Amino acid sequence: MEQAEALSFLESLLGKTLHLTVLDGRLFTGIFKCTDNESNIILANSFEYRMPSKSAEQKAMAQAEATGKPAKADMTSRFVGLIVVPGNQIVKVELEESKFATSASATSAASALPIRTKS
Amino acid sequence: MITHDITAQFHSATRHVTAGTLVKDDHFSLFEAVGALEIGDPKMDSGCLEPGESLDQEFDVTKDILPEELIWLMDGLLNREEEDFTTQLFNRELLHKFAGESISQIAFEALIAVGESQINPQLKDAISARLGFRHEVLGMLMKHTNSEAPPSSHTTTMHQSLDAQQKSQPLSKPVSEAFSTKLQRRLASTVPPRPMVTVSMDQAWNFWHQMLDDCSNIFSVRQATHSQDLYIAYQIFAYSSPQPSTYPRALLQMFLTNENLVGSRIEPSYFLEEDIRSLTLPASQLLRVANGTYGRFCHGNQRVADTMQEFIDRFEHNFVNLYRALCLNSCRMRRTFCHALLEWDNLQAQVEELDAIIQEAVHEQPTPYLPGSPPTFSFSLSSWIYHHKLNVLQLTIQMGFELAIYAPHELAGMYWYLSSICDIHLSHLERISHFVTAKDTEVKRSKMTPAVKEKAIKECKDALDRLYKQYAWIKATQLLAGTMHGIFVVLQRYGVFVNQQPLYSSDMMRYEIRMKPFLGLSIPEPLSHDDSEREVQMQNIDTEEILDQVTGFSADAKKAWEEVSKTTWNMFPITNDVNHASVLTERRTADLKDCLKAAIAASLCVLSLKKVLKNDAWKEKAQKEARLPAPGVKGRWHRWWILPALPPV
Repeated sequence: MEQAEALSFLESLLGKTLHLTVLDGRLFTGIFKCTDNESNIILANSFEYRMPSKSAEQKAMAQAEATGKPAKADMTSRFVGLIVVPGNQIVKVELEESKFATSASATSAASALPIRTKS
Repeated sequence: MITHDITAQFHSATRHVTAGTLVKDDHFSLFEAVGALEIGDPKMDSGCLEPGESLDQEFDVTKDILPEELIWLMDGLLNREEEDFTTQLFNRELLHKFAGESISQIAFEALIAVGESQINPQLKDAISARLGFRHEVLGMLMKHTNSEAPPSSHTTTMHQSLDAQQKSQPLSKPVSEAFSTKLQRRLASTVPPRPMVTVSMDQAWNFWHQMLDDCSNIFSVRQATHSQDLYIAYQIFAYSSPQPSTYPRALLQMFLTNENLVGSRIEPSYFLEEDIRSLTLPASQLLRVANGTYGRFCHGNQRVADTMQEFIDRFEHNFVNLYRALCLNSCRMRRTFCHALLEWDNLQAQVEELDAIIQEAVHEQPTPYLPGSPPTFSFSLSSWIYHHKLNVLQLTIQMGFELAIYAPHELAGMYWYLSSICDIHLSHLERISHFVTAKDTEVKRSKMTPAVKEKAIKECKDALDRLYKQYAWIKATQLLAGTMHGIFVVLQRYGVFVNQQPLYSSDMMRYEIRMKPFLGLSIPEPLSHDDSEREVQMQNIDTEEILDQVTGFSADAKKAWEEVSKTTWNMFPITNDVNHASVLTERRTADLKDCLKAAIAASLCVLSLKKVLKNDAWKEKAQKEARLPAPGVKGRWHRWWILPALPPV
C-alpha cells in the first residue's frame, strides 16, 4: 500500500464504528477517533463486551439440557467512554457496516450469544 | 449488523503513518485524549483480568459455613462506613425492601435458634453477642427515625456487648472471598478501580464505641431553646475531635427539618425571627410575636408587612442551611461556607434595599453613630446578615488552618486576614450595640403596659448580652490571631518558613488563588495583593517593635480566652435533660482549654523569639528544624492555632 493510499484509508475510517478484540478476549466498540504508526487506537463512546463467564455458560448449558430448549448466556456489557487501546493489545479490528456511518451504534451491537443445545 | 475484518489492512496502513504524527478526527484534540482510559493497564482498566481470573463473585451466600467463619463475617460487616454511601452502592440494592421490624424479628429468632443449637458454648456466646448487638442497633435506629433518644441504659448495654464481641474475635476464621473489589470493578466503568478500603478490627470496635456515644450525645442539642444556643451546640459537635461519624451527623441534620420544625421546637420562619430579634431587632414591631401574618404587626403598614414577608421567605432556608453546613465533614463544610459567603454577600445588598423601604415607611430617624460622623440608619436586617456573614467568613479562614490548606509561608498572611476580619466584625457589633442601646433607652422611657414593657426590656437585654458574648469571643480570636501574625512575620524575618521562590508561580497569582473565596465579596472589601502584602509584612516597623507589640497582644489574648472560658455555652434557659446534662458544657470547656493553651504557648513563643533576635546560629538551626505540628500531634494545641515547633533557645 502506498503511503497516500494508506492514509486515505485510515482517514476514511474516522468517525466510523470499530470493533476491537483485545488479548484477554474482550470486545470494544466505539467511534474511531485517532491512530498512530503503532496502531494505538482511540475510541470514543465505547462499550466493553465480555464473553459469558464459564459458570454462566455451564448454567445455560444445564438449563438447555434440562428444558430441551435453546438457552443463552448473556455477554456482559458496560459503557467505558473514551478509551485508548494500545496496538500490542489488539487481536482483531473490525469495521461495522452502518447506514448511518457517523452515528454511534454501540447499542445495536450483539449483547447476547445463543448457545445451542448439544443434541 | 455486518462487520468486516480489517485487521491486516489496518495494521499495514498504520505502518505508513510517519512516527510522531497522528491520523485523527479534526474535532478531536489531544487534550481530550489525555482523559482516555488505557485498556490493558490494570491501574486504569477495571475490566482487565489476569489469565485465569474471573469476574464472578466467588462467594456463595447460601453455602453452609462454620460457626468460626460466621463470626469472622459478622465482624467484617461491622467495619464499613462511607460518607457518600448512596452514591457508592454500585447499583446494588440494599435491603430497603425489608421493614426494620421484620429484620429485628429475624435477628431475634436467630438468637433463639443459636441458643438451642448444639455448638461449642464459647462460639455460641460469641454468635449470640453479635446477633444481640445487631438487634439492639436496629432498635436504636428505629427509635432515631422517630427522633426518640434511646435510654442511656440501652447505650451502656451496647458498649458491653461490643467489648464481649471484641474478646471473642480471636475465635473467628477468615473467609477472604466474601469481601472483594470485584463488584466495583464490574460496575464502575469510566473511573479507574479504587483499592478496597480495609479497616482494622481494632479501629472498627473503637469506631462503634465512638458512634454509640455520639448517637446518644447528639440528642443534647435539643436542650437548646434558642437559635443562638442551638448554633453553639451544633458548632460544639461540628468541631468535636474526632468529628462525629456520618450517621450521627445525619441525625444532627435531621433535627433541623424533622416534621418541619427546627430542633423539634419551632417553625423555620419563627426560628429566623427569633434570631433577628435577639440580635438587631429586640422589642420591635416589625417581627411577629405569635402566629399570624405580618399585616397585624409592622406598624399596621402593608408595605412594611410585605417587605418583611419577602425577607422571611427569602431567608428562612438560608438560615437553617448555616446549621446544616455544620453537619457536614470538615472539608465539605468549608466548601459550603465558601459558597454561602457569596450568596449571603449578594443577599445583603438586596436586603439593604428592604431596609431602606422600612426606614421610609416607619419614618426612622437617623442617629449619629461615632462622634463627628453623619447621622445614620440602623439597617437592622442587613446588619443581621452582615453579622452572620462575618461569622462564616471567620470560620472559613479558621478551617483552612485545620485542613492544612495554607502553605507555611502563607500563615502570616492568613492570621493577619483573620485578625482584620475580626476587627471589622468587632466594629460591626459595636454599631449594632449602638442601635440596640438606643432602642433600650426608648423602651425604658416609653409608656407601655408593665407586662409589655418588661418583655421589651428583657428582649433588649438579651440582645445586648448576646452582642457582648459574641464580642468577647471575637476579641479573643482577634488578639490571638494578631499574636500569631506577629510570630510568623518575625519568623520569616529570621528566615524561617519563607517562600522559596518557585519557578512556576508568582506571589500575585498565589494570592489570587488563596483568596479566591473572598475576593468576590463586596464587603468586607477585598484587598489587592500589594495592599495586603504591606499590611502583612509591616515593612516600616522593625522586628523589636513588632515583638513588643505582640507581647502585649499575647498577654491580652490569654486574658480574653480566660474571660470566654468563664461563660456558659447557652444564654437562654435549657430544657431539663438528665441524660445529657453536661455533654455540651464538657466539650466546650475542653475546646476552650485548648484555645487557652494555644494562647499561653503563643506568648512563650514570642518570649523565645525575643531572646534570639540577634542569635544567628539559632536562626540557621531554626531554618532547618522548624516544623508545624499536624493536628493530633504534640505541640498542636488547637486545630485553628498552629504554633510552630522551634529548636530550644
